[in-house]
Amino acid sequence: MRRALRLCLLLCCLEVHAEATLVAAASNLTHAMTEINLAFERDHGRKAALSFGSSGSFLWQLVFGAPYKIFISAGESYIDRLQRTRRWQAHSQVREFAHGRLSLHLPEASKIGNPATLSEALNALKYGAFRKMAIANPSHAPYGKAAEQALRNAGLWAVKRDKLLLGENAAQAMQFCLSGSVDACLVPSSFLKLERFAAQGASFPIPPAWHEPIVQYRALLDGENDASRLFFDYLASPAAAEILKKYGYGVPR
Amino acid sequence: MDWQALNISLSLAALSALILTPVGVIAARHLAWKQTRGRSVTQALIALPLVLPPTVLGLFLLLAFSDYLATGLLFAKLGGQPLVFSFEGILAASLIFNIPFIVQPMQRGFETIPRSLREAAWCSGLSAWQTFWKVELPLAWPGVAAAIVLTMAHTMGEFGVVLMVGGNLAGETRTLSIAIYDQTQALDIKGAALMSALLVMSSFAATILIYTLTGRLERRSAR
Repeated sequence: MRRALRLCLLLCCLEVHAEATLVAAASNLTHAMTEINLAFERDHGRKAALSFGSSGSFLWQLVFGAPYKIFISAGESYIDRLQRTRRWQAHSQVREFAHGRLSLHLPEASKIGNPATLSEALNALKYGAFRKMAIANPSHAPYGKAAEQALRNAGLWAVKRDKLLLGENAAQAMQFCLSGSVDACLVPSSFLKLERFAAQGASFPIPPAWHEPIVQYRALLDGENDASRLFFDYLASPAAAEILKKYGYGVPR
Repeated sequence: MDWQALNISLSLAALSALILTPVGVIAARHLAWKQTRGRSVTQALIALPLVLPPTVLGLFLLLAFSDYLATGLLFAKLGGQPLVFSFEGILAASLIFNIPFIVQPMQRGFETIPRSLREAAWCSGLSAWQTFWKVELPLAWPGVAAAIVLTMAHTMGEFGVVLMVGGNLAGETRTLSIAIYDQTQALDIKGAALMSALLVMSSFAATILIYTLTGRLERRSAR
């Protein structure tokens, strides 16, 4: 019986999958990477298969043999950890991919009012009353860590710390903002470049000097695979750089 | 709407129910009628996936299917590729986390059949096989059908175990519930809401079906 079941299981499910390069990328890159993939298809006639998620869980999957060929991290610490796993081999390589930027976003229903500049907005937050401000959790999310540094720089961390609502990651902080339950959020600029959010409320880019660079890396795990290398190299192409800039990322020189 | 993810969820649900139904029938009949030693232990084992958090079950299955343990190497050898992060892997996981959902309603179904009725069938000269098809199954079918619907509905909704064992590979292990999570992470609230609405409606329909079927079973045992 059991043998028959196993046979059935194998027969039912053996499928041949087209060999697309599997790419695991941090969630904040969803829209930029999807567009880069479309440009790649236009230029090379094939697409990569993209998966988005948290860098931590991808790392965990990679340790257990997940077949991703390229990994794009949300921050630097993930790359250090990746290099200590057995998936890291002599032909693996890593390069800087994009520099994340932060923006202060005030949703439409925000109690902060209508500040015209970043400093006006920060002053209003510092001295005015408001409900909550959403950021990603600084203890593990790279954008949260940068948000903490930016708030310290703005002199807000010490006085308004009890007003912070911590999202599991940057996307959740943005969701808090969209739900209208907070009056401000510090989120990746890339989220605010999306057409459907740009019109909702006001956004102010945070100067990159206010926090340590949020460096997102691209890692090629299987350096001997030509298709993977083609996509990996395309990520550094001028076309990809244009798309990254469009979504508010800085591009390494 | 992610049709590919819907397709994977539906295939996973259908295949899980297809493979588990005969297993469930055998196990349920045994548990319903045979007073064997260690019955409580068997029943506890069957109920275990209900009690365990998906992360615990997912972690154990991940370890068992990956090349850290001999079991994973054995599966890889049998199937030609490792079970982790493949459709076969999430199917195997689905077969395990669905055991209580397939066995328990079926067991309730077979328990409602009085022993005297089966004895009467045997006295009338029906073989065990004929008794099963002509007497037992027609009487227990609401329980059997409820188990199948419950298994399929539960598979559609499972998230944690599938994510841990399957990762999130488009066209391979990205089920509907994982696609919904993906879309919330991509801040595509509209897409996520649409797919969630579909899942709510199908789950609601499945639940109504389960209650109709089990209601029929209860009326019979009351008579």
